[in-house]
Amino acid sequence: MESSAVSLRGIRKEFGSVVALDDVTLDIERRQFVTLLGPSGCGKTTLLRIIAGLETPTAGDVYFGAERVTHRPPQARPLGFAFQRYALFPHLTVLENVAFGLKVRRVRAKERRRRAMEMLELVHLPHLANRLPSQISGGQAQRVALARALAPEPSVLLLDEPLTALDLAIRTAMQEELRRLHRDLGTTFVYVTHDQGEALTMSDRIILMRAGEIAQDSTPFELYRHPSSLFAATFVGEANVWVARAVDDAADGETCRVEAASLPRFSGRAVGAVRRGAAVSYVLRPQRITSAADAGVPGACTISATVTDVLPRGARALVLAATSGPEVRLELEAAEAESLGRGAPLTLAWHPADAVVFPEESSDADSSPVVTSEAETTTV
Amino acid sequence: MAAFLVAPAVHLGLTSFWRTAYFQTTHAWNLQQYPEILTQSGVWQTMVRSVWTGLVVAVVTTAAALPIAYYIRFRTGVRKVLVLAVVITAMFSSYLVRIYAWRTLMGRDGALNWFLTTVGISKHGFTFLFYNRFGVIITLVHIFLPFAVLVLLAALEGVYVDVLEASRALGARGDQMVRWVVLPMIGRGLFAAFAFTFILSAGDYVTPQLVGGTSGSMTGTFVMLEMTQLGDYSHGAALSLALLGTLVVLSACVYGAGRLVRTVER
Amino acid sequence: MRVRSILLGAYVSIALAFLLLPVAIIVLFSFNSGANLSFPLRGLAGHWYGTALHDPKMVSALENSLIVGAGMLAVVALVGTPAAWAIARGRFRGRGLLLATIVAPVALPGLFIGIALLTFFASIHVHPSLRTVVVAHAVYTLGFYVVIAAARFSGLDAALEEAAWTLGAGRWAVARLVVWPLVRPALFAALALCLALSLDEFVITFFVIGAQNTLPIVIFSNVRSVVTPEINAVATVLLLTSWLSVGVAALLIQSSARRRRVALAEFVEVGG
Repeated sequence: MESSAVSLRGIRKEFGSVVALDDVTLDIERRQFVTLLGPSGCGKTTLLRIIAGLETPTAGDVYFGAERVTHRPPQARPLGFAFQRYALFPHLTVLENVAFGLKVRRVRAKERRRRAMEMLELVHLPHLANRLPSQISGGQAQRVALARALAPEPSVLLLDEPLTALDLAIRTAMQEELRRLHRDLGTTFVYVTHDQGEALTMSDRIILMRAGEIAQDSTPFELYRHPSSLFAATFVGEANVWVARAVDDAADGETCRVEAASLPRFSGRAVGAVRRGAAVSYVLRPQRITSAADAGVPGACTISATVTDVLPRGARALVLAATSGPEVRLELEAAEAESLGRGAPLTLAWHPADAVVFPEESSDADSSPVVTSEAETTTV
Repeated sequence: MAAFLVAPAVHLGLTSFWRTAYFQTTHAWNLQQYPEILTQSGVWQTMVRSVWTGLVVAVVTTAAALPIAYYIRFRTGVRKVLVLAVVITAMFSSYLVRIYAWRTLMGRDGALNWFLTTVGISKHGFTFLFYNRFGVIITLVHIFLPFAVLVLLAALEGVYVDVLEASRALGARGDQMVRWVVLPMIGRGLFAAFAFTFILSAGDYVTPQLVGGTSGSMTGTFVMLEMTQLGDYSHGAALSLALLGTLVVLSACVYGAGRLVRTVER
Repeated sequence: MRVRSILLGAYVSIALAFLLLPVAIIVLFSFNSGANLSFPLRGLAGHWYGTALHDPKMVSALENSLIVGAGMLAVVALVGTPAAWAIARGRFRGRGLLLATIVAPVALPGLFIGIALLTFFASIHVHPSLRTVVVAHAVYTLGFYVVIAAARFSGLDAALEEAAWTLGAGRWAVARLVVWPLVRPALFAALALCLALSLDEFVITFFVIGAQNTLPIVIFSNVRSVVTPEINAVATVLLLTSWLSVGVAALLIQSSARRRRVALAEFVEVGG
């Protein structure tokens, strides 16, 4: 615990009869860029606010390093906070805003100015020093807010969906900007977002949350390649999800055969113990399916399909194909997809190791099983 | 923390109202006063007159205020600001000065009569317009009109222009729009303006004293006399509570009637 | 539609005249050089103001009005500000009830408030004096102040305070550096309105005052007995003081709004 920047032990938060967080325990290492990712209502923002001290947990403790800070107010914690809507003080200039944390710490005026200007240079906005918050754009405001939060040199920076209110173009630029700041300053970043693309791009580590609990805690690559639950598989990245029945018993990691209505039997990698005859979800990413021309690999799963639609996406394209079973989504190179018209026949192939079999959980009833994920579509 | 400072004020407010429940200055509970009041001569008639005056004033004021509030809400530019400024100026003109001003205007030797005699409309001027119930009503309307305008204006702020545009696009005519769209939306505001004006004007005592003459006296004056000149606190308290009670009951009736109308219309 | 619009405009004009006419006449008469209280005017002169200002009764009444006003402002600011804050931000049970109690005096006829306070003071053996008037005015205007202040507090973005906390500011620093500068204009404007109401107040004052007079009371006793022409001057002075307070309030509100508008205009010019 001493080496971590922030530690949480058994955090529980109730709002009346609603349980927002249920027994959350985690350690955040120094200098890490950690993202709390999840759908609305999963508790990620609440957790962030508890770390900040803006909320008090119903049970559990918060530690900054070795110190227990659970009941300390935000001003007594060595942190900075970036708000979704910037929260710049409207009656102060940009420079005064950035210098606010220093003023509160009784830093002398000249020194304050110097350090505030330094921060503004860091975010490339020194020319806005004398403007009022009402006179700058959203992207600029967010950068000023970051400068303000970082000026007192906190050991941890907490960010609450800071890019959600910005246009897409600015958002992408800001993501790189945040990454750069993190690299240059070495501050621990704890970032909250519902945008899985954003999380995958920026983080060292992603903590996926759902209904007040941690669903998975791993690196972006790990999360994408080896989701530990159906929820993780469908929330991050796109996926084809088929309802099927297991043919064999399989332990975690073993190959498992499944059968789905009107489809031949397929194999996949089991995640968690699977019992023969149990209902399972067969999950396959669109990026892992190829058209038959490339499928010379022995042991590949194949299925014949007819193209229903082709949706261009820049360098690649999404192809929707109808099969004897459910509709399949696959991604192909644009050149290849271009030649496909509606009704064109297609043979789809994938390697069983790329498909994942999840045993059905009772909570899977919430996530939509047979429809592919509606989460932000980004290719990784 | 806030409670500390608030409590005394609240306490004062509350106790000052409770205290009027002591019906005798000897602090012994006594309900005798109430039947006494009702049988006392003149009291009943005065109370009826007060209530009636209050109703008339409330109706006239609310009706008169509505177009003004409408004008302010839906016009822009200099005109709107000007009208609003006049309304606010009138509102913050001292209550007493306004009553006195009406006396100057409408009294026997007042400006109006001077105008009428000079122009030749009437030989000695109209005396029937003032120092009676009518004078009281006009003065009270003048006093509460700005207040009603502001209350209705606040209610109208909730009516968005796009709602009106939408209903017009759906084919509603002007008056239909007013009846079916605007009025229900500001119903509560209308009631507030009406109720406030009703209660405040029925309980007034200065206006009838100064411009009411003999036929225009109201309960308020009685109470005032009892309290200040006769020193009969308990009597005055009982009388004023009776008046207040009546006003509240009547307001509740109007509110209920309004709800009834709305459900019937639906 | 056009006809309707013209009718509305005409009606409003008449209504405005109705509202202003009586008051205008008083102001007009205050400049009457003659001693008559009816038309026609003898000439224009300002000497009644001189008479009024030299009349000791008037002067002391004016003084008293201002003393009461100042005292009332202090009470209202001290009691009303925390109350408004508690109502705007608090989450305690009796919140609605508290608000209702504070606002109630606004809706009740001055008669009730007057006699309620009179009997209350009598029962605790406090004699009517300027002090009781201060209390009475405070009770009456508290409703206006708290409503305006609470509205302003509610409109204040809670995230601003949270941001200040995360930057290391304690509660007192937040109040001083963030909250106060932002709510200051509205609070002062509200106080100015309360002052205007206090100066104008007659109904309640009449009950709870002792042997002294405030301006409206002097006018009342004058009107009831023999009306002397200087009363018009006094009345005009009263009107002007109230209007002045309201004007100050309007300016305060306008200036903070204008600052924001100018900033926005500059922003648009620069092109973001």
